[in-house]
Amino acid sequence: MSEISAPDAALWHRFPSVRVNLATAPVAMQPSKYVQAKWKDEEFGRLRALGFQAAHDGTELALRLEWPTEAPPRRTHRDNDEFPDAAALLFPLHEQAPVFMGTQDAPVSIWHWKDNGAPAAVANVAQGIGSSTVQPENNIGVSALWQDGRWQVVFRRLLMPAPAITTQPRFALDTPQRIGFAVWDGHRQERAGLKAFSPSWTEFVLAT
Amino acid sequence: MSDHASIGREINGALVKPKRQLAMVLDLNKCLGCHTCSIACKTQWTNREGMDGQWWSVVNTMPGQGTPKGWEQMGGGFESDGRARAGIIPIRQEHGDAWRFNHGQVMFEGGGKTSHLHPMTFDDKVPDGGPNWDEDQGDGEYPNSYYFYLPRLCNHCTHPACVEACPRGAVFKREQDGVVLIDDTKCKGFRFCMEACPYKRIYFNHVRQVAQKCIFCFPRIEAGVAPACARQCPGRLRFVGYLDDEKAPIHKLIHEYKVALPLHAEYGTQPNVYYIPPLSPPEVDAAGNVREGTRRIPTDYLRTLFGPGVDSALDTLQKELDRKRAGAKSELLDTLIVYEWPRDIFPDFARSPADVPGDFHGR
Amino acid sequence: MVDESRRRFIMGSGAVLAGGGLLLSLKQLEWPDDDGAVALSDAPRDAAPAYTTFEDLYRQQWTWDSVAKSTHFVNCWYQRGCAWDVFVKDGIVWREEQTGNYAQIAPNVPDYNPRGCQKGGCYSQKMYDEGRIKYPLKRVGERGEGRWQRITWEEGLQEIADRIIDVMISDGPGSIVWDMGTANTGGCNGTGVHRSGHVLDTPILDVNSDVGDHHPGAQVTAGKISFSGSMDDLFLSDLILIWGGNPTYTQIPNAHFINEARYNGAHIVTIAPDYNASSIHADTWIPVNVGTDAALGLALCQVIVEEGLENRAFIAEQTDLPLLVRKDTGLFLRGSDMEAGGAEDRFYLHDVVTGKIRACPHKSLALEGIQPALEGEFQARTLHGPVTVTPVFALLERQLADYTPEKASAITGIGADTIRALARRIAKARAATMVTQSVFSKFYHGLEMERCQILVLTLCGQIGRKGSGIVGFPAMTIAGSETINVSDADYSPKVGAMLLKLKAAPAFLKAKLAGMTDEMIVYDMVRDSYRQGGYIASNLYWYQVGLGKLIGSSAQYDPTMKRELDAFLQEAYEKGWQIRPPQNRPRIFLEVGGNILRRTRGYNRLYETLIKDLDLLVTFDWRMSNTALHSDYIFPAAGWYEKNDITWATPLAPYAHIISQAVPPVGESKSDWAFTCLLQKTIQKRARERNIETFVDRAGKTRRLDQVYDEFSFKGRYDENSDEKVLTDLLEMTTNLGGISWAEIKEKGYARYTGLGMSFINIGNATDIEPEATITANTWHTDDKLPWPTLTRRLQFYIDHPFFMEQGEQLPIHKDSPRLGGNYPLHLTQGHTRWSIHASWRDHRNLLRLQRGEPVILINAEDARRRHIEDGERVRVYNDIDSYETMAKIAPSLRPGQVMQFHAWEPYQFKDGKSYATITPSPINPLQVAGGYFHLQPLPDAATPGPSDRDTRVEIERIARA
Repeated sequence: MSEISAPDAALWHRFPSVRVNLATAPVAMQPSKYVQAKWKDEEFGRLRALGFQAAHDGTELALRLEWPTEAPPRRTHRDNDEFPDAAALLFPLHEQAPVFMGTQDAPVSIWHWKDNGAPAAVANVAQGIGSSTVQPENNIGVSALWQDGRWQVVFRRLLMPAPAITTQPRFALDTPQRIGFAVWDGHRQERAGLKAFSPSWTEFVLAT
Repeated sequence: MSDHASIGREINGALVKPKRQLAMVLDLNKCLGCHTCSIACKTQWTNREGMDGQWWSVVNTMPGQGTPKGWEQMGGGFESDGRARAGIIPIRQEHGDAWRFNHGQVMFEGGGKTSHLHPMTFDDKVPDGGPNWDEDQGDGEYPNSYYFYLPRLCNHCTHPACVEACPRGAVFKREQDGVVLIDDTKCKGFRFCMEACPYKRIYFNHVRQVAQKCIFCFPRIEAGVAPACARQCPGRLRFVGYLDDEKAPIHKLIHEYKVALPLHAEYGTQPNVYYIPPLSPPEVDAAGNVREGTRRIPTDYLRTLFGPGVDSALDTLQKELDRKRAGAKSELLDTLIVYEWPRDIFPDFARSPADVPGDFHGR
Repeated sequence: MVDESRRRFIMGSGAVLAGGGLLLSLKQLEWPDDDGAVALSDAPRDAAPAYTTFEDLYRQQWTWDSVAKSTHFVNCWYQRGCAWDVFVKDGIVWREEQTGNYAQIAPNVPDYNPRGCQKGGCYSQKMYDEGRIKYPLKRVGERGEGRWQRITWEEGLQEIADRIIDVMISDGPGSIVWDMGTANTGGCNGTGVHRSGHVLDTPILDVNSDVGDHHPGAQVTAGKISFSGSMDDLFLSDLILIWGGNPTYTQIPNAHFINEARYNGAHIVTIAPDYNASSIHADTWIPVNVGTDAALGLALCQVIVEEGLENRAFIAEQTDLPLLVRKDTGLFLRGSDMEAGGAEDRFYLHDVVTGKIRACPHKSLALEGIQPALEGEFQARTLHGPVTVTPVFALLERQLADYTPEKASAITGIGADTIRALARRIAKARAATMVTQSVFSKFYHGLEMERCQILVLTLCGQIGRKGSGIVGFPAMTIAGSETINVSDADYSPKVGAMLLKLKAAPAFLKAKLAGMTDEMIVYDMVRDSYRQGGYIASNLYWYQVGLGKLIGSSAQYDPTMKRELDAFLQEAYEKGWQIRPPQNRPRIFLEVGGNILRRTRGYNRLYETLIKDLDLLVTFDWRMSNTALHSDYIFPAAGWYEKNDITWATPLAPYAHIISQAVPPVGESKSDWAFTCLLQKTIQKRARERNIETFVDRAGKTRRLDQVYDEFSFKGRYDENSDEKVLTDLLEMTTNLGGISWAEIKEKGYARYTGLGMSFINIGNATDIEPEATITANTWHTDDKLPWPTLTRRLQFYIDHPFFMEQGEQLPIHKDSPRLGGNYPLHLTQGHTRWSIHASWRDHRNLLRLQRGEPVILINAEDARRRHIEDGERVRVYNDIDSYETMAKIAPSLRPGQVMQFHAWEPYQFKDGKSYATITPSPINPLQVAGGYFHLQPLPDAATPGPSDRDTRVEIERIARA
């Protein structure tokens, strides 16, 4: 597994890449009149597609994203108006969970990477827009590399997490798995609902 | 809807108000610019991780850039028709941030003769701005320059722009007293509140990655103790009480005598901190004579801060002063004097913290 | 540097955006649960957190383990003291907050609550900050480098005790000098140092004149400096002159009384060159040219006299204005002129009722029907024939002719109309008073400025009534315990006090029978400590140990001097008018509460003189001051929340405050009492181990060196842990705190003074303290007709001392501010800031963050423009003496031609350690070495020469931008 934990590992060339279409998260979906008002005419969430790859070795899985940026990422995010580039994976925790951050009865699991040097992605559970709650576990490894105008980010986790973790998906082989995506451009002060996201679920299968 | 989350919001065209609303009135004719309020708040709450550069209570020399620098041009609040007005996030340099110093180098590490004690910004530069950089500068030209002190804190607005702005609902207004709080266990550091607050009284904690601001010392309030900024003010100018209490001094000051005015009411958030505008001494002419009857702070300028009510507020104050000098009584001035502290200034919060059990569970 | 996205949000550019309204069809977004009620403008779903839990986090932050009463024994003087509650959590001081429970004193007068200021409010941070001295340190490397080796208390004490013993034997105690600075307390700190000085016969610097708080004008006029009413007395005024002070900066806990007095009908007038912070809430601000306040005062007097507004009855009774002066000699007509064997201190007036010259009543001010003439010339039949005499008032009137408002306007820059209006206001006020602090004392001609100020209120009789009064240098302390410093070790301090009183009783009685008042006797008694060398007049010491050329350069700047300062000084020494400091070579200097290498004007020259000569420089402090930085040894002092003590106060806030131990001393620090105790203990121990039994004191007497600790500790009554025992004993002896015990006052935090006692610090207030009234000073004189403690027994405006006559200053006069430092266009003054009390908070990071982080010099906008200086730029300040660098801050409220650098920045906050104190020659005014004139004779805190840094002239240039 270690051979493909690096985002630029050569091995990734062997795996098929799915082009996932992204849309700008609608301003009307922002659960705050202020955000709607201010960002109505602003450009955000401009990324139109990202590349998605998945790989596993029977125990662990690695999910890789790649997308272009307009400018190199900031080296630090120390000021108040500076936000990091970020990306997130969404997984339904319920059959009926919508890709728009789930609902009260059909939540989603979110794996959130930020360009802040942390070695683990932050796990969240969401039951609707504006409700994502950080989970205490630290089990999602993440590594990121920006190179030649593109981010390459790899999320790693055991296929089956510890039983105590109830708010993350369990991956079974040969089973269709739904996944959603979101990307934030830090340069444009994107965060919260100001993002590019996949308006529909993408399906993938981890073959034996 | 009258659940917690809707207090302070406009729902179906109507503003949902709390059961009671705490308010503060500051008499700017008594403010010494000493910053005891700012220090009281700092040792009370902002002495913790990532809060070094946070000054929930600031005292600005006006006219001046204020804190953060240029805040009055940073947008936020609401238009007169209720629409949200876009705002920007103040950056650390504009807040003044927290300079570091090299005490160790000078005092203990042998640099006594080769270095001197000096400040450095968080990004290793020589500071060119701070939370009180333009202290006592003001405006005008000698001998007719003018300035006064304007203490500022979160206004715990009746229609808080921050509450409306947070997509997570992490900012909420308490039903029992109207105090506005940022639940920093829910905050994810999106900082829309910082854009939306027109008074720019919200700070960002870079260590914890959450927004933070004045909490109106609610734990003290709950124990009957006045907020630290008010109780520790040696100038005795900060009145605290409930807006609906007709017996409280603030009621007289706001509703009866109408000398207490909101700051920048046009921002539309209905602030609950009021100010009694400052009188000022007369100008001096070229021959060095005092031009009796003039006021050196232009009323035009004060009007831009406190609105059209400022003219009559100043006239009321002056009239009462004249009456007193002629030997008459003045209920207004007697209220502002504060004969017995704390009874006459925050009657509902007259307890001393030393008389409160130090253990949380004992309260 | 504002990027595009920010620029868009400048208000007024039309960046108003609409909100609401869905932009996309829900169908396109494939919302599975489309009930149409997504209600995007509603509150976010599930936004209700467990609020109680979150709020509990803050509630839990507001918790503590214990509370102790304490305060800050730093020298905030006019605004001292304040009762604080100190909150301790997990053994650390968490924060402090004002106690705020002072009972209302007088009905219908506002109470004193809450007191306190921002500085006291963050001492909890200062005591733990990077500059805190935690362990004994010994210098390695050069003095001032800041390189240290940590040592133990034992090692340190032994090393310095041995050196002290060596020097006691080789050079004598005169070679060892202490400085208490202004951290001295009236409690166990003060006792420790004073008794050490007494037992070792080592002198202590008298700091008051050193810093320039010695009010020479008050001393020469009233015979004392220590008098003031209480601040709440101002509520009863109808006219308050803030003249020579900036209470908004430097009386923070008291200033509310001024604003409230205004609301009670008082008219507030500020008189200052700059539109200072105290002026912003005044009714009138009168701008006055720097250093011309004497001319203003005299012009006010001219108007008052010309328009017949003076209070004749008052001045006839209370002042020397009716006393007769010989026209031939310019001296007072004295008893020795009129009778064989007549007294030098008997004076005469002309009684209009009888038409005769007669002796002025001596034992009381009561005139008993006498109507002294204020004008006219009369013939006195002296022993040597007829002499024409005239009342002082007549001479004064002629003097005032030079100070018509028009003439004074040219000097002061104040319009003549404004001067007239002010004079009339003062005269017609029901109760006029002044808020004046110590700024005039630091001007070369400050003596005159203060005299003229006092004259204005005196002419109008504005003394003694409620809400009125002149102010000198306020001070108040516990009385009845002072003898502990010197009483016999064989008896308890209480018994020792009684014995001393008994011993002094016959002389006391004799003096009283001879007509001396208690005040006069008390002052006479403390003058003894000067004659015996207990104190050294600091500026005379600096004169001797390296600053003589600098502070003796008076004649270079003062055109009215016809001989050098040194000539005046030597004459004064020869005649016993000033006491010559020990002539010994300075070998050991003990800094135990001050900071000589900051406060001394010209401190940098001391590096090459005194400091270089010293064998040993020892500092005992809790913070790294510049003096500590240059020391050979530093001993860590416990901070104010870490020890117990009591200290002096002022009548402005007439409460004795205590500090008590909220937490144990930080690191290895010890209380001041413990330090002096252990030092004495170690000296005795080492003397015994080295078989050195005796030393010779400065009077030539042999004393036991091997018994110094026995003497110090009252034969073992106290040891280094006896702080509270000492305090218990002191409070038992105290007569003016209503009998409160140490245990009781420790719990309460403070107690109000009940009287003055016979303390030389207090007695000048000359009034009784009532439990339910404000304090109005000097009523013993105005109401009880007790004579003032001057030569003439009246407020004295005519001084016929030879030095005063030589300088033409018998009467109050204005003299132009000398151009100290050279003929440069900008007048540099200092002032006390709101941000620190002396240097103690100058390096506090949070307070620095509320300023500009480093020293700044204030410059008027126009002066800056002409020099191409922009706000925040680095500048060089220079004159003939030296130069230094600092940051410029544009101050529109500053008078053109004046620049200000607020004081007490540590030298190590400037580049190359050079501050404004390096360019100020601060020469001594010869009048201030006068003596032998009853009330002009050195005593602690007064009648010794002070500094004159407020007349410094400089130029400023921008340092080229890099």
